Amino acid sequence: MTSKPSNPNQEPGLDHEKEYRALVRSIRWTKGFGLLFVQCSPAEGNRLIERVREDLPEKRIEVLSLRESIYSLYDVVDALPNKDQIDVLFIQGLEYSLYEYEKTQLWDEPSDQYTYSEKGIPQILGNLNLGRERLAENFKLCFVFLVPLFVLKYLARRSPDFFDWRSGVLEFVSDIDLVEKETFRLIREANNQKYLSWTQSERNQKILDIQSWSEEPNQSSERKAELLIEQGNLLAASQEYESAIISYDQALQFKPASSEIFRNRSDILLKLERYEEALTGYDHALKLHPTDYEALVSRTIILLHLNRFEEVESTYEQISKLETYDSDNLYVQGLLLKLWGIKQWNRLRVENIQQLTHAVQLISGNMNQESLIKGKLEYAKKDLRESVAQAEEKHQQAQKKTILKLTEAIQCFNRCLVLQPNNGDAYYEKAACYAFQNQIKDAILNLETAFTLSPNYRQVAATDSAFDSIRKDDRFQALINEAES
Amino acid sequence: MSVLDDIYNAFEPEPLPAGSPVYVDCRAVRGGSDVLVELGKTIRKSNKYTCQLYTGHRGGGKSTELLRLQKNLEEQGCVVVYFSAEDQDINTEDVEYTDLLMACTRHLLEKVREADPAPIFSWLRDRAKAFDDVLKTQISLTDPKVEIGLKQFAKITATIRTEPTQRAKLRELLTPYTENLVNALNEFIDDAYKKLPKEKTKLVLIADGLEKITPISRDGGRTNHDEIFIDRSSQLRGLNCHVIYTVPISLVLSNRASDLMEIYNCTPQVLPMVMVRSRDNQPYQAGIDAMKTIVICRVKSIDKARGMAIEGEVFDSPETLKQLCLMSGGHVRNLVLLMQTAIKYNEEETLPITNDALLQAIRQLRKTYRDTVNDDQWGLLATVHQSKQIRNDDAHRSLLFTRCLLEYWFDGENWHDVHPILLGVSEFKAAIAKVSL
Repeated sequence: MTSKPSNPNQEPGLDHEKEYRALVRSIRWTKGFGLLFVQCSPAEGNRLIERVREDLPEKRIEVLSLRESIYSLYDVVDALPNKDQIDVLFIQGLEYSLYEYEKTQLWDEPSDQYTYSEKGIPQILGNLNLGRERLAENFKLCFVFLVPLFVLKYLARRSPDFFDWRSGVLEFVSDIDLVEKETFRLIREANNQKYLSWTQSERNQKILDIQSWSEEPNQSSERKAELLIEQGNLLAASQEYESAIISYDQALQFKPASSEIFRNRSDILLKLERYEEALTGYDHALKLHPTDYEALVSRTIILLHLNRFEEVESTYEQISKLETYDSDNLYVQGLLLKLWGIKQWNRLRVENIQQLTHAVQLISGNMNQESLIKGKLEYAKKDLRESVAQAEEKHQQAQKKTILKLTEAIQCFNRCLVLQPNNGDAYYEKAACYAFQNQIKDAILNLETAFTLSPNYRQVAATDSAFDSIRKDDRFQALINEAES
Repeated sequence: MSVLDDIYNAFEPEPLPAGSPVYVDCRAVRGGSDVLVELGKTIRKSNKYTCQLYTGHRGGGKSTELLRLQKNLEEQGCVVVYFSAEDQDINTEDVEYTDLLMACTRHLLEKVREADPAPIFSWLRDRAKAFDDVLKTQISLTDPKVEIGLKQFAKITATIRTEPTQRAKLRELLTPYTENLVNALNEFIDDAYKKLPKEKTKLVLIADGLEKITPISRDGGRTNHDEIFIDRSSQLRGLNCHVIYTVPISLVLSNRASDLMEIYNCTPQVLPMVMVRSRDNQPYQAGIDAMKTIVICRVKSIDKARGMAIEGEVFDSPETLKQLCLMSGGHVRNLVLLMQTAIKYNEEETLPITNDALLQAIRQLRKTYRDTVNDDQWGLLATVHQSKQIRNDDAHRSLLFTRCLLEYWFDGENWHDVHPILLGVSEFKAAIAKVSL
């Protein structure tokens, strides 16, 4: 029987059932030690184990489900009570050992993280590599590793001699519906605030979870971008800022016209105090989405910081035109106003003082001259009086302007609190606004509530310059020094 | 059906024991490289102690060759201690040459029973005392077997090293005394020499498996391998017997290669691939035949398959067998793997092995290789495929390490090419198109 010479470079497709039958044959025919790898999702892995159990009843099958990081597979297998009566051992959860490793490594370059870097090795992989003969000699059973793609990549690169003894790598791509379902779940569960409250280990797990789904072959560009955005957010929450930026850049490759990506990226640049770059990013975001509230506010905050007041004015006009009912947006708007008010106050005050000083210098300069005749003296006194009056007027104006801003700020915080009644941050900021205006009673009231909701604000208030004007007040001191109940 | 599963099991990844009936001599198509000649001759002819390095691509047949060498040397009046380094001896991230020396010591003690272990035992006792004094760690040496004591010692030092605060103390304790370990070891070896059976005149130590220490790059472009084999070469060469160490191929190809030659006074032996294609991309019949022979030998080792026609009954066509050989790239491990995989995909579950099954096997291996290539490496692969040459830098070395690039010898010259299975990957095709512009 001859078959037509086929082109070996023409690839047959991946067939789920064909692959499954090949898996069963591999396991069935293994005598003694065998090593197989199966690329699949955890859910798919469980399904495979059940099917194999049914199809190979004559084999004694055990499952090793690792839930945490291990260093020596040999020791773990050796400790199994029935290790001499196992024919097939399915191993799940090897990825936990790699999560743990990624978490504890101190990478010099952020691009080394999650990229199978040659600058280190997870101990389990080093041990597997050196211990393959010992494993094969002492355990005459078929090892079947159920792993996600990134674990395979790790094994191939960092434990290559162990990986080399495989009889095969079978691939069970989750069907498209499952990929979509899992991806959608990851995206739906995305929540920046939640990320911040997680432990680093939880964040790392999520990051690696996202990585494996984004590498699924049937993943759409749109979804890939969304997953990469979440990855960036998680990295940012983990304070891995450079890596987060890299993730956002990758996301941009799949979704170049996303204002969200530019905005998130700029948020990080803002944290890193790279203001001009951040501004460019926000401008991009606003070009794509002119009413992106967060981008507008963040942009304004930077401009404020850079003392570009005219631009602040014009941007704020845009913000105030947008109606928002989002508690976070309101909070941030309030912050912006407070900052603006205080800055303006300080700036005008400084200007004022400068002018006053200058005037006094001029006048006293004149007074020292010989042309001091009584008349001139009166004249000089009048000048001084005028200057002081001018200064006072300016002072009043500044106060008014600031009060206006601070009042508006308080309004924003109040609207925020209607939507989010337990927002301790909002109460704290309200207190700061009142304190700045010397409205002690209101300041203290709001501060009390803030401390109840978020006790760590006590320490913050102790050194916050916003409270300088009321710091000496007994009531303030009492509140600050109140011991924790 | 049982014939097929017997054949499946005949294609195993483990190295062949010496004298195995399925061993095939591929010297002619590996550029004439023969370990018996290169390593063995050096030992036989030398009156002084030699220290040689041996390397080759993973899965290319190194251990098999070393086992052959062991048998050959034993037939020529040598006592050979062969061992393979294990995870118990060595912690990859943190490996130091002391670990290596202790592994050598342990295995020498186990295999050379006649010699007096006293010098090593007293070294161990002194260390145990020092440990107790400084590190407050008890090492009880009640067991008369010294190698057990050593194993304990190794385990304890490994544990201590994982604690960063203790690491420095440990280093302080061990380093000056490693000289003493080498001395103690040499005393033991000298005694062993005295007690060799009459017909044996030399003692040879073969430390295999060291290339399995995954390379870790340190600052300044160095690696953990540099630290052991180059920085500590004087200790490694200081043993009073013939030694052969296996090293990873990346070390031999690195910019430290000339250092290696100088230090070890030898050219590290490299086991190249079997040449199945010539430099002008044409199939090379002699190489293909050698690979075919490997397959045939293993198949014929199964009684039930002995009478079968290879091309027709075992394989559905000559083309299928030829493709199998070509796609392996001349790499024995890949050949074995493709064979096992093809058998698995054979839907009928009886002979012959079909072309479809082979295509599935190729698909699987191709995916694995593709997953091993980083996005930024495709261009490099395309360039090497065109020029058949590599540059001596990290990027190329890394690809040699993962076997995406392979080395061949012909007519006294070495050349390199991309693993043939990668030629069908879409990223590679795109890169080639770009390079050809």
